[in-house]
Amino acid sequence: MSTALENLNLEEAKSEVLRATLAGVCESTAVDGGPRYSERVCRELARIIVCRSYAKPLLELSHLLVAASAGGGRYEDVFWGISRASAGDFRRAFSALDGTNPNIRVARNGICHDDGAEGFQITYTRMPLLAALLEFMVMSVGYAAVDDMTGILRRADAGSDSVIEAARALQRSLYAYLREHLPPAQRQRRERHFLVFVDKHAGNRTGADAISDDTLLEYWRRYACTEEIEARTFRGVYDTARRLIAALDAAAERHAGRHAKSIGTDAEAGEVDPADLDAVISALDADEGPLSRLLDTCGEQVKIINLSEAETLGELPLGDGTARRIPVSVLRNAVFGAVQLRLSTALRRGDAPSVVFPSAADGFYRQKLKDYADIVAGTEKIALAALWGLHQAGRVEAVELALALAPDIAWEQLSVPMDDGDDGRVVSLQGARALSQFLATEPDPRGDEPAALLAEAKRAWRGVNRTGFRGDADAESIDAMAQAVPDVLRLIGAVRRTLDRDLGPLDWPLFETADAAVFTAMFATLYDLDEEADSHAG
Amino acid sequence: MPADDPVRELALAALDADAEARRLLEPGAASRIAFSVLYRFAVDPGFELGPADARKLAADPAAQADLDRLLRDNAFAYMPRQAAAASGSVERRETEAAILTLTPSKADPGQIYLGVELLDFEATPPRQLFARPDGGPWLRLVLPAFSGSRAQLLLTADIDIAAALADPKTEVCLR
Repeated sequence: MSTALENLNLEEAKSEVLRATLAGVCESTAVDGGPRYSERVCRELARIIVCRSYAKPLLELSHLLVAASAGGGRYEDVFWGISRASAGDFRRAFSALDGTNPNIRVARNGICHDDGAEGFQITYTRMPLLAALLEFMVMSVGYAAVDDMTGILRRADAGSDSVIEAARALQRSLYAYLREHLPPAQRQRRERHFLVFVDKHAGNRTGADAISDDTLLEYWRRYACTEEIEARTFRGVYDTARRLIAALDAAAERHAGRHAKSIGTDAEAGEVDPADLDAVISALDADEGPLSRLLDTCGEQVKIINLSEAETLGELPLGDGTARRIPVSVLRNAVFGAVQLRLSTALRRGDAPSVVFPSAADGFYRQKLKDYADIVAGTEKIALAALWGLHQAGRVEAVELALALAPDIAWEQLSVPMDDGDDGRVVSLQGARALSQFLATEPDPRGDEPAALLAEAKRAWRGVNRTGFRGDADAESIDAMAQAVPDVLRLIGAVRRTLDRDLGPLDWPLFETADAAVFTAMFATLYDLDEEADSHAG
Repeated sequence: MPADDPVRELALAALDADAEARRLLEPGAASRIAFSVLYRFAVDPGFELGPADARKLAADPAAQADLDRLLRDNAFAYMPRQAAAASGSVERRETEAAILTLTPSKADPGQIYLGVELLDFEATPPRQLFARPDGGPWLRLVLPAFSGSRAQLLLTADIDIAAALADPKTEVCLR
């Protein structure tokens, strides 16, 4: 017994070293005291480590080390000479090295290493992760070891053979380190328990198709009050189902995609390909959705969306197939999941629960749908206001936004017929000319359609009283607005699709009546409440 | 959905791995000193190692080895500890790049002059001196601006770095 315990302690100690090393990387700070690596980068780094999907990133890193050693410099000065590991900082660092090595081309979006083979490109946005990986390598296998293994990359003529040799050496050393320090992942009992239940009720449906609204609700009703598994909250069960849907969908896509398998993976023996594993885990990352990306891009600088709106829209699963597969559960979670949270919080605090249970007469699901629709309509108005700001600043992103917000207006006014003997129906939005024409357009509510759109955008700008939109926007706000354009368009599109395609066509009054009864009864049982008294009153 | 379905196996393996990744990132874990901190300590005279980082470094032999390598590599001059036979105090250390001298002050026996002379007149002068006494941590001294190829500092003889520089078992780096 004591030997088993000692072994357990030994294993835990090894794993603690790994945690401490990872924590060292993730807690490292920039000169201003802010984090050196973003949370997203830290999550990606942890994912690479746990999935052991480091082969490709280490190859990229090896190319990057060649570029960072350009001109006889030291790679450390590039990777750690910058304070914050951000795309912008790397862009500046590599711009300073431009021209120091004929085999390295510094471009607008990244660097290209002419390695004597096909050439290798790395974008600036990829570099923060590679920097975090290098820091982890240095802290885990040791600076001297990394420095020695990558010595061949500091020659100006380091080609693909040198890069591959260094990358393989780095892979071997990280493999050995993780074999020693990374414990096998624990099997997640909750997901497996839920899947067994789903199997019994799936009929001939398989994969994520087998998870339905009925199965989810039935599972919660059956297990919420038992000790067999932790399933007390509807939200917990919903989250389990959602994660399973995302994982099963991503796994099915990966499986069907015939992706090249890593050499050395024995699928027959049940080994999972690290690249597959990494791809599926990325699909589980809720922060990859359009809402999180928008908040990341311009959250503080430009309030395209405020926290309350973000919280409400956060109830909608926008980045995966959940709304398509279990649409009713999405609103059950938003309405009754929230009620249960308030109820259990009040009871935990020892307060008398004063939660108003939704009544079918309130049309609570339809009200929720209206809330989402109102918010996205407001976001569209803010985007229209941003169009005015970007137009006034002469930014090219104004065109992208205008085309997306008003695709059906008479844009051909900005076009010139192609001089190719065509019949005149084909027109070309000849980039620069059309852009300058659009940017020179004056707003006019009674003018042609682009002018009228701009008049509407100007009115929207004046009507918005949010950070980044007051008065004349400063250059930083305009930059943040421009950067946010793709994300805000993705968000609007995703919410509209979810509302119109997934949640719109259902018979919500029917669900409101049935669910008010089911959830009230369940909460009464779970929390020992008087069902009659609590179903209508506060 | 059979239990050995490859899609299901991949999905569950991903959920297990995701939980493990989250566990690894849970806040509250003890953390090691980051290499980025060691780098700043080595190259930035204005950066002070905070007490928490100093404690982490003192307890972490691997990080100490990383710092050793970082300081020695591309040092302006590296002066290893002197031969075992050496005894008494050191008054002069010399490499092909620089000469260090320690000269007691005639005016005040409690003070000592540290002279740094660069032998490569073209080189960018070092900005910091690091000294590591036997078994101890690296100590750091920010150098003044060089006048030509020379710089001189007046040290109080009883401070750690002055004592360390006089000890033959101390290794020294100019960076």
